[in-house]
Amino acid sequence: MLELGSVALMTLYPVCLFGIIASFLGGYQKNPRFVRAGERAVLFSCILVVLATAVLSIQFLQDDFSNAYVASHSNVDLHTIYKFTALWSGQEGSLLFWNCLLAMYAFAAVVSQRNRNRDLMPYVNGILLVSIFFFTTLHLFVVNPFRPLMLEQGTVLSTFTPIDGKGLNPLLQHPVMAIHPPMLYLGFVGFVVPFAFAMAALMVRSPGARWIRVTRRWTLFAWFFLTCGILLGARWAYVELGWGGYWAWDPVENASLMPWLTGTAFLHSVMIQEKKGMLKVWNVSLVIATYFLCLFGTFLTRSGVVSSVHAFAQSPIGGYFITFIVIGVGLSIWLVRSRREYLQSETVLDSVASRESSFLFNNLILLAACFAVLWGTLFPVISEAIQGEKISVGPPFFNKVNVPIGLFLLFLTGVGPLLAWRKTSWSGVRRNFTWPTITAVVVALALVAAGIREFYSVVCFALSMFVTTSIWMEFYRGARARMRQLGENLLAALLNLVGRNTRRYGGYIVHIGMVLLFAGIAGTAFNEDTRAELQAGESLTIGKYNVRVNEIQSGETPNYEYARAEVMVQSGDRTLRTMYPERRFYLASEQPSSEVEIHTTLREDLYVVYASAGPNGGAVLQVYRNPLVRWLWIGGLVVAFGTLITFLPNQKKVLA
Amino acid sequence: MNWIPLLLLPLIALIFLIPPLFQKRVEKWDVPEARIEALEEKKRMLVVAIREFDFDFDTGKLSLEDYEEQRARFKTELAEVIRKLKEEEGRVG
Repeated sequence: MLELGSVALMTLYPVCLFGIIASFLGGYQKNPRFVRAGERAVLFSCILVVLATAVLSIQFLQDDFSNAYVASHSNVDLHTIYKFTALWSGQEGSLLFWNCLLAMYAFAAVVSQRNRNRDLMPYVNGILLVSIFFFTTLHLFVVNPFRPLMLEQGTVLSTFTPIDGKGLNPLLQHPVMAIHPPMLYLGFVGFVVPFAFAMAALMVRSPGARWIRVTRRWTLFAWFFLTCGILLGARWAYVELGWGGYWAWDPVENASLMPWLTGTAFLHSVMIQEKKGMLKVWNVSLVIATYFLCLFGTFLTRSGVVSSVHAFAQSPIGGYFITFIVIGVGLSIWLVRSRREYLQSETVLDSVASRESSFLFNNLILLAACFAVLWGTLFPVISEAIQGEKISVGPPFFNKVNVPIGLFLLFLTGVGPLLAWRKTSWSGVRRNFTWPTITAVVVALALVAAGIREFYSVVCFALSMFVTTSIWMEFYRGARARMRQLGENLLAALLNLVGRNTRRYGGYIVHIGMVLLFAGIAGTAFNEDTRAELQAGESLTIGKYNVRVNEIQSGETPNYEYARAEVMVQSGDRTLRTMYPERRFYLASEQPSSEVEIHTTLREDLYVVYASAGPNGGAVLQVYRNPLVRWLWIGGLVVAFGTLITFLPNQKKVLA
Repeated sequence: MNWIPLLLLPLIALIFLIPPLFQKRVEKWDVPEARIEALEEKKRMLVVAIREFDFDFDTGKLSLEDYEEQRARFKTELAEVIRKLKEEEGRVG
């Protein structure tokens, strides 16, 4: 099996090289023979990478410890599902998995577009193959996933197959890890397609809205998965890391957030290019930034430049990544500069009170947030380079900078729908803003009257109401127009409204999801926690909850040893549930892990961690009360649902 | 493991990749004419803009005065683009 995987990767190398030359030459000479050969190289590359990935997966499932990577990341008693997910638990496998997704994207792009955009496709293929070639270089020369396990006997090295492997990192033995990395990678990798089309459009000197129309769904697809991946990562951190939170401004988290911010800006600003022929340089720059931020985040967290609780793989790939990024960014900038005469705006901004200007502000704010995150993430590296001392930047910095930025972004989310494209008259502005402003002020006053004094939380809830009202008004006014013009009932009018402009109304649903996300985040201001060693029969109180330890148990499974507390949770006289927070020690990897228990309601989470065995033989429990967290996950689902709506094609007759 | 069957992979790669280079019948390279493409794009942009504009008016975001003035501007622009597009198409044949 090892040989089959190795041969697949070794074959992939010349296939990519051939495809790159054939594609660029075919595009330049407009030679269909070379172009078709390049397309075939993309298709065959996909087959080879999928084959290599399948081989590695089979090795994991069959406990083939002759492969050094399998021996380091799996063991016989590991659950089958985790044997499969162990594929992406380390550097070699995760990069192979990345390349596999990349090749699948390239395959899909060729199959769907080869006969539609004949002038662009050779360059698109060439760029996609360059990316595959880069990752294949890493597989073959730096982090080979098919390296045999070697044993040194004196001066002789011989292959060696141990009876059992070292096991999988316990933190990765969680159901979320089965879907979080694939989703995140689908997001990261997916931005290669819009990037490739943007560069191809520049190469053929046709950087109009065509590449944007072609890649709209690809971009949404990547954004959808990146969003889901980030939220699932947050969910994993919340339920698995046991520190009571879901976002710590960790470098890996930041690395995924940065391309999300630029990708979100891109999704908004392309609409201005499509509708007004403006912001061409900006859009191309955003897609370049998004693609290379995906790679930069990977470089940052895998090279060991910054440390992270999420980083499970480090190796000497940093130099390769930074070289690829520097060359890629340099060539991209050169291409944009050399094509600037084709990137002139066709129109100008008609008015500040227009939807496009609100999108422009939204773009600037998103980029400011991205820069703040980038600066905070890189600051330890920069400070070490300049002062020789690594100065860490923690959550207080990120919160101080990003909370006001986030709130302003939330405000713009509400402003956009209230403004018309091109120009809104001041009387229109006054009329449209009245109700959202009134509801926001009422919410703010009600919260202050209820005794809530946290400034940012009050502002966040007030703005959430502002956005919700403005979006609700959009649905209502649109439906009312249909009812008036076509005599439809309210439900039919609403459904047809969404169906005939899925992009606009799906986007609004995404914004509602973002409001719920913000509400969940705003709840953080009211978190509280306590820690105590409790013997059986003892209890502690947090908020309205009484947490009582009934029994402390210990035991062993083939995979781990555990100590667990049976905890009864009561609110007043009412017993809510019994929890079993657990501390595990995994035998193969010799690593500890906490299994937290969470009692969740729409109002708040009670989060119980078995921190350790206490010095007096009791259980040390760390208990958190986290208000509104559930709204974060619900918001995520709404965002996902809204994005899926935007994927749908519009119904034929378009009113909106 | 016997390495000989593994040589099949590079061989299949060659069989799959090389034939297009020697195919006799060459497909027509149908590349859009740049000026026509730009005008088509402009036409599409204006049609969408008018549609959005009508909808914004229907939902009460625009005053009648603004709506009538801007819509007339869009229609004039659209008529001009369509005229140029026809000219270009006639020229290209």
